[in-house]
Amino acid sequence: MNNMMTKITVGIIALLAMATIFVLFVARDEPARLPAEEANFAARSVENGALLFEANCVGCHGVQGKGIPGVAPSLNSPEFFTTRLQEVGYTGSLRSFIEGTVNAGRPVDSGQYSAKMATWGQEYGGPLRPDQISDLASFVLNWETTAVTGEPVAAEPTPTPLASDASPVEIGAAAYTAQGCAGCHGEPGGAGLVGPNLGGLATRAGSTVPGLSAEEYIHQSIVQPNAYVVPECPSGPCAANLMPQTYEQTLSPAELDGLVQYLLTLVE
Amino acid sequence: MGVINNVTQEIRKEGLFHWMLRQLDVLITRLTTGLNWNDLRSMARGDEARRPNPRLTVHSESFFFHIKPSYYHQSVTKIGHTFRLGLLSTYFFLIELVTGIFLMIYYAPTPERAYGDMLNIISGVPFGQFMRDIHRLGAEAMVIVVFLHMVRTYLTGSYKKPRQFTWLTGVILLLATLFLSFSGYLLPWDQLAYWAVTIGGSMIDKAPPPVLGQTVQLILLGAPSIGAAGLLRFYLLHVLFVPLVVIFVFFIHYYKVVRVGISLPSSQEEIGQDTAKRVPADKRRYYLPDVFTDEMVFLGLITFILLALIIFNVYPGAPLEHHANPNKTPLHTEAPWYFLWIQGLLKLGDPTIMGVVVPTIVFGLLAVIPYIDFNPSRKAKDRPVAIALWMFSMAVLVVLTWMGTPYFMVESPPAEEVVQIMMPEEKDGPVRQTDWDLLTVGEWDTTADNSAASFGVQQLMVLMNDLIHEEHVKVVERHEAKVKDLRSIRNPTPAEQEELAKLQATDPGLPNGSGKMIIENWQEGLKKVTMRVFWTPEGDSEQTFEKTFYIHDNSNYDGR
Repeated sequence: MNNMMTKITVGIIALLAMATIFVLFVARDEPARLPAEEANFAARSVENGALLFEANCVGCHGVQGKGIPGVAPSLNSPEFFTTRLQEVGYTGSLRSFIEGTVNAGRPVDSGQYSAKMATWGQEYGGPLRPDQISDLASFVLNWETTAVTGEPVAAEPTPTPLASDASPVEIGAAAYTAQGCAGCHGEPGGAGLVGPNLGGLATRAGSTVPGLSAEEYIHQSIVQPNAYVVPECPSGPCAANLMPQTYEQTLSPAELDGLVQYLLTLVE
Repeated sequence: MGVINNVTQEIRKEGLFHWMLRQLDVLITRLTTGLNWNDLRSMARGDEARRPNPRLTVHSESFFFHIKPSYYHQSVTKIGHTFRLGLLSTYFFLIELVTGIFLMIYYAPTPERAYGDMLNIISGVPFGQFMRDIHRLGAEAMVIVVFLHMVRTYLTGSYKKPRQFTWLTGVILLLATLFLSFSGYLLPWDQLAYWAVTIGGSMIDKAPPPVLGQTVQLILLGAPSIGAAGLLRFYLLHVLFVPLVVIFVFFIHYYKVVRVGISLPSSQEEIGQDTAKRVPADKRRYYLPDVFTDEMVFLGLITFILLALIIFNVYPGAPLEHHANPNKTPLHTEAPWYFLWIQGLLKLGDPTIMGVVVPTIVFGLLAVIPYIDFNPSRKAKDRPVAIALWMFSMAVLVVLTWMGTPYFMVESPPAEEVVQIMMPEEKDGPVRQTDWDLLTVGEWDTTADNSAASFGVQQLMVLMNDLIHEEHVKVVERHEAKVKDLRSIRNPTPAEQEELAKLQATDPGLPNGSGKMIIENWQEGLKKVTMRVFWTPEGDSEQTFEKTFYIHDNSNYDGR
C-alpha cells in the first residue's frame, strides 16, 4: 500500500514541478523573448544585407551607398528617405520600393545615369533570392537615421589604412576593393557578374587592341571604357556605357597607376 | 412521462444529494468502462480488487486498455529488465506528433516561405521556440531510445524464437525513426539542413546500378539537386508517409509483444516456451493498477527531465543557421550525429561501397539476426560470439562516428581555420561573444601594442595569436608525419618520390604568422570587422587570407 502511495505522490509532485517550471521559466519569459528575437532577426537581416551590398552594389552605388555621379544615385542621403518616393510618384512603402527596384532592376535609361540597373531578383533572372533582397532592403533602410539627421556615426567610415610603404600593386588591389570593381567584374579568377572577368587579364591585354601595350590598354579601359568594348560578357554581349566613365576624376594618380599595376599581375 | 416519474420517485426516496452522487458514480463507471468511484479509490490505496474483478473488465471494454495485457509475469515488470524502452519510444513518437502538429500550423514547405516561417515560429509565435526545442530533443531522444531498446533486446537474446518477427518489425521501426529524424532535418531550409541533406541525397545517387540510384534520387528529390520539389517531398514523407508506416508497423510490433509476451529473464525461460499465456497465479502482476501506475510515474519523470533539459538550457536548443544557400558550401559540413558513422565510412573509400552497399548490408544483417542465429540459449555465458560481435560493432560504431566528425581527415587551410574559429559562419564564436560596444574601432595587430583597444579586443588579439600558433603547429606536425611516412617507403614509385620532393620543398602552416583585426563603424548599430591572417613561407612572399563580416548591436547567435 505504501508503495502505491509513494508512486502516486512522486507522480503528482513531478507533474506539479513541471507545471511550475513551465509557468515560471517559459510562460513568464515569453513576452520579453518574442520582441528580443524579432530585434535579433532584424539585426541579422542588416548584417546579411551589408555583406550582399558589399558583394553586389558598391560598384555602382559606392562603398557607403553615397552614389557615384553619373553612374547610380545615392541611397544614403536625406532625399532618398524623404522625397524620393514623391519624385517618382510611388505610393507604396520605401521598403517595397527598394525591394521592387532591386528585384526588377531599372531597365530604362533615365539619361541621368550611365548604367542601367540589372535585374537582381531570381524571379527576374538575376542571382538574388527573395530573402537576400529583403536583407539588402534592411541594410539600406538602416541608413535612415544617420542620413536624415546628418549624424556622423557612420557618415565616413575609417578607411582601411594601408602601410605607408605600400607597393603600387597593394594600392591598386585596395582601390579595386574600395571602388567596388568586384561588383561588376567579380573577384579576379572568380565568376564575373555583369562585366567581363579580369582573371588572366595581363596575359591577353597586350594583344587585344593592336598598337597598345598591355599597360596602355588597361589604363585606357579604366579611364575611357567605351574606347574598346570586349565582345563577351558573362550575361551576353557586353554593352557600351555600362562602366562608369569618371574614374580619371575620382581616382588619385597613385590609385590609377596602382590599379593598372595590380591588374597587370593577373596572369593566367 | 414515466421516466420523469421514476426519477422523481428515486429522488424522493434517496434525497437529491445522494441521487446526484449515484448518477456521478454511473458516469465515472461509464468513462472508466467498468470502474466505479470506490474501485478507483481502492486501486489508489493499493487494495485487493473485489470479486468479480472489475479491473479486468476494463481490458475487454476499453480500446486503449484492450491492447495492453491484463497482467504480466512479475519478473518482466521490474524497471531493470526492459528499462521500459519500448514504452518510451512510443511516448516520444506521441510527443513528436503533438509538437509536430503545432509546428505544422505555422509552416509552409516552399523555399520562399520555409525559412521565414521558422523565423516567425521563433520570434512571433508564443512558445514557438519551446515547441521546436521539444520536437528536436524528442526526435534525438527517440533515436537514442530506439537504439538502446534494440541493444537491450539483443543482449538478453529476446529476439529468439518465438520473437523473431517482432525483432524484424523493430528494425523497420529503427529505420523509420532514423528517416523521420533525417527528413525533418531539411524542413527549416537553413544551411545546416540543406547541406546535410545534400550529402544524403548524393549518397542515394551512388546506389548501384546507376540507373537505380539516379531514379530513386529523382523520385525522392524531384530534381537532380534539392530544391522546391525535394522540400515538398521530404515534408510529405516527414509528416505523412513515414508516420503512417511507423503507426502501421508499430501495431504489428505491439501485437506481437502482447501475443507472445515480454521475454522473461533468460534464467527463467527456455527458448520457444510460451510463458506469456501461462503465468502462474502467484507470479502475476496486474496492469491495473500496478503496472499502469509504474508507467505513468516513469513517463512523468521522463517528461520532467526532458522539460528541465530544455528550460535550464542544458540542451542548447533547436538550431537555426543562415538561409539555405546552394552557392555557399559551409567550411565543415557535418551529417546529423546519428549518421556520422556513415560520413566516417565515406571518408574511407568509394562512395558507392561505403555510402550505400555497406550500410545496406549492416541493416540487412541486423534485420535477419534472429533467422541466422541458431544458438538455442539466451544466457549470456552461452553466447560468447554474439556478445563479442556486439562489443566489436559498438567499438566500430564509436570509431566511425569519430571519423565522421571534422576532426578526422579534414584539412582546411590553417588561416581559414583561424578565422573560422574566431568568427564562425554559424553560431557565435569569440568575436560575436564580445560585447558590441567593446569592439573598439581601429586597426589591431597581434604583433603590435593594442593597449588603446578595449579589454575585449585585447583578449581577442591574444586569442588570435594563440590560434595562429596552434594551427601552425598542427599543420607542421601533420606535414612532418606525411614526410616521414613517404620516407619510410623502401621502393617508392615515381609518383611517391615526386610527392615527397614536393612536400619537402614546401614550408607548411603559418610560418612567421600574424593577424590583424580591423573594426570600422559602418552604420548605426553596425560595425564592419575585417580579419586578416599573414604568413611568409621560406623563400616566398607574404601570403594573406582575409574575411569580412558585419556585426549588429542587436544580433544574438547564442546557441543558434
